Amino acid sequence: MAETVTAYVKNVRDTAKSFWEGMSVTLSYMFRKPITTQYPDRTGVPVRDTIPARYRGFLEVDMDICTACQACERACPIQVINIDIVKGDGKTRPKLNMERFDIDIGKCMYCGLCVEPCPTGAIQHTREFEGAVMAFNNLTLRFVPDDRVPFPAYKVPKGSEAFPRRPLGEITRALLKAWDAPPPPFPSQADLDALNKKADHGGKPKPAGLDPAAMGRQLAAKALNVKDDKPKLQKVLEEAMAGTDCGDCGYPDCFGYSDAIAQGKESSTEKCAPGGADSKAMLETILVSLKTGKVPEAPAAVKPAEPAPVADSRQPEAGPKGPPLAQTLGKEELYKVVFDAMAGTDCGDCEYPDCDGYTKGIVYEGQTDLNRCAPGGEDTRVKLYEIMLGTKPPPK
Amino acid sequence: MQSFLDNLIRNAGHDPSTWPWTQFVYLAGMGAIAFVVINFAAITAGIFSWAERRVAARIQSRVGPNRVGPGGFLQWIADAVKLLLKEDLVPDEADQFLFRIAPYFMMVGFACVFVCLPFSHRLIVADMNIGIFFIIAVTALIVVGIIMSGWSSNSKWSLFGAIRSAAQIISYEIPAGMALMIPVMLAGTLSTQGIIRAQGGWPWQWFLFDNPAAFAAFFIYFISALAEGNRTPFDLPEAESELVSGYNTEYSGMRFSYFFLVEWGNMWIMSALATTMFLGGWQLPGLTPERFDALTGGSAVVAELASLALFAGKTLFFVFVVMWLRWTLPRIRVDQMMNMCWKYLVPISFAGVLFVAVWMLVVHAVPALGIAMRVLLTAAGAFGVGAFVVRTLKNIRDTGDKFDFTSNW
Amino acid sequence: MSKHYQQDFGSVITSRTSFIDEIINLARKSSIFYLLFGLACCGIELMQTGGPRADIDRFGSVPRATPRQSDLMIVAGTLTYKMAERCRLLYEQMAEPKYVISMGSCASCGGLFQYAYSVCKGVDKLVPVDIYVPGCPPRPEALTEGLLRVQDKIIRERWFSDRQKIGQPPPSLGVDYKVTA
Repeated sequence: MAETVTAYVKNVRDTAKSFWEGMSVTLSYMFRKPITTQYPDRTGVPVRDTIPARYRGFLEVDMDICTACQACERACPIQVINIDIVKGDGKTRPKLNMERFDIDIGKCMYCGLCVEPCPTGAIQHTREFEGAVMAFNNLTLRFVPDDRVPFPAYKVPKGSEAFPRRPLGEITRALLKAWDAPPPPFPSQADLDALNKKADHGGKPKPAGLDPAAMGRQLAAKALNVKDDKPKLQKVLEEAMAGTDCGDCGYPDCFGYSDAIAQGKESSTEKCAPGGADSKAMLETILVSLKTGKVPEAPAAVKPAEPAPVADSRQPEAGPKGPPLAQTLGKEELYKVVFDAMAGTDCGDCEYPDCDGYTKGIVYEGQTDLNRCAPGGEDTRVKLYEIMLGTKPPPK
Repeated sequence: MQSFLDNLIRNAGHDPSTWPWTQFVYLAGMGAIAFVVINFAAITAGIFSWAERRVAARIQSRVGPNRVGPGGFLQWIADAVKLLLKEDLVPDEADQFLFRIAPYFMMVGFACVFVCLPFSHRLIVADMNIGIFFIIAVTALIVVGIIMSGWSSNSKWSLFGAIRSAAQIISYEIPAGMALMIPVMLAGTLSTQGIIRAQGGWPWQWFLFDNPAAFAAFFIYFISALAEGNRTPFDLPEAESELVSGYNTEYSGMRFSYFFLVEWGNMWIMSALATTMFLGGWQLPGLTPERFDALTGGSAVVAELASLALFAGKTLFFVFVVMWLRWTLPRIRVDQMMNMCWKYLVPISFAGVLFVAVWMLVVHAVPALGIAMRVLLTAAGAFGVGAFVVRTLKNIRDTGDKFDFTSNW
Repeated sequence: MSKHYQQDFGSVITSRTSFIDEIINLARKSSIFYLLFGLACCGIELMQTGGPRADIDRFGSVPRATPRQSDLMIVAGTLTYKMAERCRLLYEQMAEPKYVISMGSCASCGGLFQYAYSVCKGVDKLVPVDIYVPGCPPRPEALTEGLLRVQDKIIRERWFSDRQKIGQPPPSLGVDYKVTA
């Protein structure tokens, strides 16, 4: 009984005390300054300028220093960035021209993976965050305003370490402001003429697009002339590449890659990602002609230069097949190639702990089951059979 | 009010007992008063909604609505206009008739309380001799409205909310009623004006400091009133995190705004009743009711206005306390709510009634004891307020912050 | 006083508001109650927007838990197909006039889950969206800006004209949802 009474009184006392404490705390907050930032109009400085410098806001591309290497496009895990390239031979027309450089900020997840591989720092996160629109299509930032006037790629001066970049945020802010602006007036005839003139390259006929086969033959002829002079051969080979020094090939720049091919240390022709199928075709033409000692004939006979330029470089090329890579490459090289062929998710579905384990199993331990990479699926199977056996995989 | 109308008729040269239009004058007077009172209730409820949002914001280190009008003061008008224009939805499977009339039941229960709620020395709609009884009785109509809205909505959340609300309000009627009995016993009348007259202008003349039981009864009444008004920490019927919005889940537009009008208007009612019963109502310090009655001319008007201001000031302070409590305390559980009522408030209030009965006999025998107790309790109350202020200032100082009430509006 | 023939770039709104419309719209735009509809990480930012730093209550916007009392549905987060039905149901339970903000990449187009089998590719496939707020998730100020854009939209509407004539009609799901209690 006494305990019950004590507990009863204690409960009442605790209630009173917690009221007392709690209410004095809330009252003290009431008389203190609110921490609200009165966005948008009643702040001392714009909220944008109070955000930390490394905030990942909307993306911005400074087209003036973009090398068109498309490293950002390849880095993006969800295909937010779209770059359309038209190629030139490097003389009558710049080697790489961007017809389109779109970033869909409505889909972007602001991970920053595109910023890291950029060789010049052209693509950057800004501190812009205000982009509410009424139409979803407006959420695409178009950094090449007119696709009829392609933007030539920036050629990195050798040895430069800093690049002249416009102030961060300026370009994106201008693009975002355009959403709020009234629609542009319908262009007058004079405006249209000026635009067409610009698109027509100053009245001259539009320069022809790149013909990889023809240019490959030209370069092959050049290469044959300087067959034994490695530095000159390297220059010819470099001409077949995109020349963005993006480093996607694993060498620091285009010089490194072409030098390695010229020295005979490198046999793969498909490492130039910005050049794509065109570069691959040209390099193959050069290498084949170096081996055979003669330039391939113009229309026929040039098997490697023939495939359509749009062919996906990942698909196995229909060409003369040598022995499988497993017999030509060293174990370490082979390891890299096999590892590349896998999905790289480390899912463990193959019963090895990760992709590394499965690759080692195939290359070093004689694992013969090549069907285990579940995330990679059919693509990985095809590649693994191609690499290890030189055959097409059997149907499942 | 009847005497006021009678005087009007007499001034016009008729005898109110024989003049045939007397009843119509009465009706017109009632209509006019009802119009004024309901508008007063609605407008105060609207202003309280703005005030509550500002107070809540300040307590949460926010700013609160500040874009509509000066300091956001017209926010409640914007809300009202919007709710008025919004589609008035009645769910397909709801009981259409009950669904539509439920808010009016709540409005009636709410507005009837104003009949015998005093505002100042003379300003009261009707000073009934059963005033407190009437207030407790008509307040129960709100429960009917809540249950009707919950039942007719044909929604689980509404029904849960309504049942919880009914359980809560009916339970808390008991301690509230018992706590109000203590001033009634002390004053010897149920009339609200009579209870105020039995007190005085100075704090030690209030029933709050009359004896320990009355002191406790004040808090019991206040807690019970919070529960009856569905205010936090007793907002179980409209708990947003568990029952979508409680009994008004399916209501939209104007009908929904009635519910909120009642909730905010109730704040005035519970605070005015606390002021009336325990805090001396409109009593001016140093002016006894008898001398007040005897005042005439300009001084009477001044005193009337002063008493109105004093009453409103006390009431608004308690309205602020209700808001302040809401943003201090978390919501309690249903079992805790029931425990608190039946195990604590009900026994204590019964004990208080018995104590007061005995105490009145004791004071009748030894008047000095009553005076001593009043002095003691008043001193304790003043000390409590002082300690609280010191504690609050310490809270501000301890965080390294400073008193700032003007910036960042 | 009246702004004649205002145009919005993107989805064109042409409106001619009268004096009474302006007064009504001023009240309506200052009292936008939003429905709590946080589905994923954007929901956290949605809560922050009501919190002390951004404090959307300054514009008269308070959260409501029930669709009946809400004016604005903020779809915050990844909308799965399973949730899509509920989203549509909640939208239809809201009382007119009602608005929708699609907050973040996932709600706008599926975002990084666009290739997932279970994710709805944009809430605009289900309900008419008024404002898209980009971000992953958008910071509270960005959502506040979205709310201001909704206010811009409201201030140009004619209250007495049917909202369906202004916005596009909601696309049909092929399922006849009966809005019940």
